[in-house]
Amino acid sequence: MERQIYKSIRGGRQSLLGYLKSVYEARNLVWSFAVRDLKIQYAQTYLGLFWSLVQPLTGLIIFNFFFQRVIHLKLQVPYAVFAFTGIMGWFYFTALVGQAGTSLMNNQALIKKIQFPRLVLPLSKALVGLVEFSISLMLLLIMLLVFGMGISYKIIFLPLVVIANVITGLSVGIWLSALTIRFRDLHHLIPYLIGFGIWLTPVFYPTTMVPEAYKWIYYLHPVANVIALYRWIFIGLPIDALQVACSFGVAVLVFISGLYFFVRNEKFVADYL
Amino acid sequence: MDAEIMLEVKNVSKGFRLRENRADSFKSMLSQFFSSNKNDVQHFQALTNVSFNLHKGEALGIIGKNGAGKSTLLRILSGISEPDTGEINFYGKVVSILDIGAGFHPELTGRENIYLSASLYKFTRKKIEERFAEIVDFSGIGKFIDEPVKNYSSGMYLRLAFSVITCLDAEIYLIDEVVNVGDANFQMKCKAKIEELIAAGKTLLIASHNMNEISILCNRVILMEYGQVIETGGPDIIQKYMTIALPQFFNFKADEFFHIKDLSESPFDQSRLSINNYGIKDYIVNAEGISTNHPFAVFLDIELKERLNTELRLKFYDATGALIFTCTSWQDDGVRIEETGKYHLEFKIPANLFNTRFYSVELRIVNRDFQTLMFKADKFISLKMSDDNLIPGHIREVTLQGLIKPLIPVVITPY
Repeated sequence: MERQIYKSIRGGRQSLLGYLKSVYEARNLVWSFAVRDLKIQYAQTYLGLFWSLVQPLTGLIIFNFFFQRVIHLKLQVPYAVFAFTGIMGWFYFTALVGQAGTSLMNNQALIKKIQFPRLVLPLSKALVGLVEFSISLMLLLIMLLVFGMGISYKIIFLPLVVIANVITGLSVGIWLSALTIRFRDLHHLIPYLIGFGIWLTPVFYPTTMVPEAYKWIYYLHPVANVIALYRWIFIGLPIDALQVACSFGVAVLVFISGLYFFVRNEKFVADYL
Repeated sequence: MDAEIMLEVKNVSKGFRLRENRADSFKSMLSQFFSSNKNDVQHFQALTNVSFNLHKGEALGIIGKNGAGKSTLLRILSGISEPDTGEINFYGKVVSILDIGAGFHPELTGRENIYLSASLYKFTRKKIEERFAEIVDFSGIGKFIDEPVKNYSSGMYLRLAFSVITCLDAEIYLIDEVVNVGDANFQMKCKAKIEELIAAGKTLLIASHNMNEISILCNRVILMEYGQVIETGGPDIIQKYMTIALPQFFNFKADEFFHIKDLSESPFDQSRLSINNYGIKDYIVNAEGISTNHPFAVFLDIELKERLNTELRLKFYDATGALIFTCTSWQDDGVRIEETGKYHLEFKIPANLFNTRFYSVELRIVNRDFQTLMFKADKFISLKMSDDNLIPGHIREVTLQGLIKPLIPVVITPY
């Protein structure tokens, strides 16, 4: 009589789809890790989650001072709102790159002792970032009301843009998390990439300031287009549909190849750590 | 064995590239890429064609020296590491306990850690809620359950972590050395829990260095060496393991039943005291070792070159390093080693004291006036003891467990 096999382990490749199924089965773990990270981050602090506003607000104050008082940049919209929409998208992106990228390294003890789909670790960072993003979003809505700009019907597209923001961040984060296991050098490179990346991204400056010759970059730059979409929703700035489509194509490509690379390498993770 | 199979391990092999040669930085990756010699990557075969079955209700012990592949095997069975080849089938829900408190985070409260840890062990929220009270109860944490675990004592921490694991029911448990953490009290509790699992008909696989534990807990044992299963059998193969693993440890040469350490390798100040001769005498050997059924003596010839209030001690250890007893020259009869001169000492070891085991003897020479240690030699003498009664064909061919085996008279009378 054939008995039912509860679980089976074999060497060799696992299909991406089969793996994603196991991630889906472990979905409550994504939630558990996200809750854990949030609790740890803000445990025993008096301001708690509002600390997540400190970084974007400091950025806002510095950019505002520099571009209004020093450079006297003229925009049709309030600069604070313009800069903050950029900051919001950029910070969610960098949080994902930074946290998802180091998530395997930072959970070595766990990975060596308990089996679970490792992809859960970078994925859970999307939820952590979402909480911080939501708080920034609330601040943005308050700013819109203060500046009397109102909220457009386009806000119904916001969830889609947030998803694009998450995919963009995770695509880089997943690649980095799998790569850092084998190439520890990347661990040191991540903060540098993030610090450098903000200059390539129209966070605190409008794309109109960029010479035409360099604008092709935005066809390959998903974060720039995520930010453009936030500005389209909240400020009503125009978007270049082709640019958006092109760059999101790049993001999806990086994301799927990242998943594939991650799954291929996951089984070696415990051996390499 | 008619019981149904719970775990099938078929031809599992696993190799590693050695760490030194791994491309763990861009620099070494580049240099390897451009290097014409591709063979400089060293390969280490951790497991070779490991196969065995685990039946329902069995407690299987895996023993072997460090590096024999026990931990690699357990990591593969747990799904943490992947085998290169082979197949493993589980016929029941499996929980692997490679570490107590894996998944615990110091900043989280006991309650939060229970949920996190249990969900890592793939238990649903509903299931955890059902067992929650039981977990807290078993841990004895009580009102501290909503405190961050960083404020717990290490004992509380371990108790909580262990109760999470044991209260979640599975059919197969994979356990790696975990019973060796914590204080004696906690270890007792762990062992009791494991015995409870065995009694409840659960299936266990335990890897451990601790031969005593394995021989007490397990009804079947797998002996591993160099990543291969050398032998499978009852707990009696533990003795076999001892004969493989321990002679080197005790510096035995082939066919030797004891080893006397060369003390000239451990020099000390001989201007006041010298050890001129030492060893064992009056012993009788049987086919397997020195007979435990006859008395023998450990002797030492020492010379005091100046007046020195001297005490000699022998400490007897078992193979795992557990101290069994100490004997001393400082006896009630008032005979002292103090005036200059030569002394011949004999420590008379009675018959029927030792078990069929390896023992090592440590020598200590102490200055009684200042209570200072003047000389110490560990594994001064190593002994392989053997009970005549265990030699096949003898009337009482029985293994009695224990570090020593004093002959306790039993009076049996009809009433």
